[in-house]
Amino acid sequence: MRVRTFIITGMLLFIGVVTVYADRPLSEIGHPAVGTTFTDIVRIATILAAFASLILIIYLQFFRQQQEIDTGRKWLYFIALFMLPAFVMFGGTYFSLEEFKDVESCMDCHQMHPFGADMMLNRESNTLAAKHFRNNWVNDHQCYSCHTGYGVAGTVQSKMDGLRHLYGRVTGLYERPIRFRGVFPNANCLNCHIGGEKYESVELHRSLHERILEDKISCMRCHGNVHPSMQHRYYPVVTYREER
Amino acid sequence: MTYILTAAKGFIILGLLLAIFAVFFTGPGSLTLFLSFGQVSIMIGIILYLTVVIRDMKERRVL
Repeated sequence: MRVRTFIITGMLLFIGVVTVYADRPLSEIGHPAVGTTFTDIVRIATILAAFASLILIIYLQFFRQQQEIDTGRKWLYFIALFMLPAFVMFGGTYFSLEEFKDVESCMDCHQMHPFGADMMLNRESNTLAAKHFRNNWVNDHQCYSCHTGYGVAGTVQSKMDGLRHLYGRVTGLYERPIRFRGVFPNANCLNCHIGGEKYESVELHRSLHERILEDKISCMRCHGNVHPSMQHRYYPVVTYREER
Repeated sequence: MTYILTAAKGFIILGLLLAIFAVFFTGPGSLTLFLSFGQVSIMIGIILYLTVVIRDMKERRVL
């Protein structure tokens, strides 16, 4: 009976704290314009679950030591050593996957700085990435939005690429200067542009419609200059986090 | 059996501390690093704990 009360109280406290955090002024959590996101809640829940598990393990180790293991104690062990740690594992994974969508996450690698500098700091830049960023044509996760294919396959592919980048960064085994690998599918552009008045008003888009859809002709062929060329890349002094 | 349970606790505590540090304090790059170590540690801990549970159930002829 005591164990059941303990578990129910703990769960209520857990839900309460997460709810209170979710209701806090949004700017305190980190997404002032967007509001509290599901990721924020998962992050808080993960941290709370980790603390709850630690407290429960300490309680079982030092305050509930006995020779005979009763059923209640077994359940507490199950929660402390299986349920909560498993939740921390999955919550942490989800949080880290979401965190990697941020531009700051891409800019964490030194090799990416020239692209970030062009996009975020160079007000005169005419590259496609800079124009999209400056005009807020893509609201959030700018790198991720354009470089990830849509659908589940696109997300999986981007995660595989991310792992490859991480491996390259940790080991330093990559060729310099870095080059874009693979192809850039038109679907990444069309997802926003197709059907739009500006897009449809261009005669060439209509006449090449099928070829564009089938990736036989790339958007970049006419709208090139996506990122700065080798000669125009530079390494900024300020960090992007400060600038934003 | 007690030793395995103690080891499980140790691994899980280490993993949880690493996960808290990663999720609470670090940026994207370090987050992956600490979180990965934390997750591996938690995973080892959970496997050890489940070993104890399964052994216990076999002894009591539940399994």
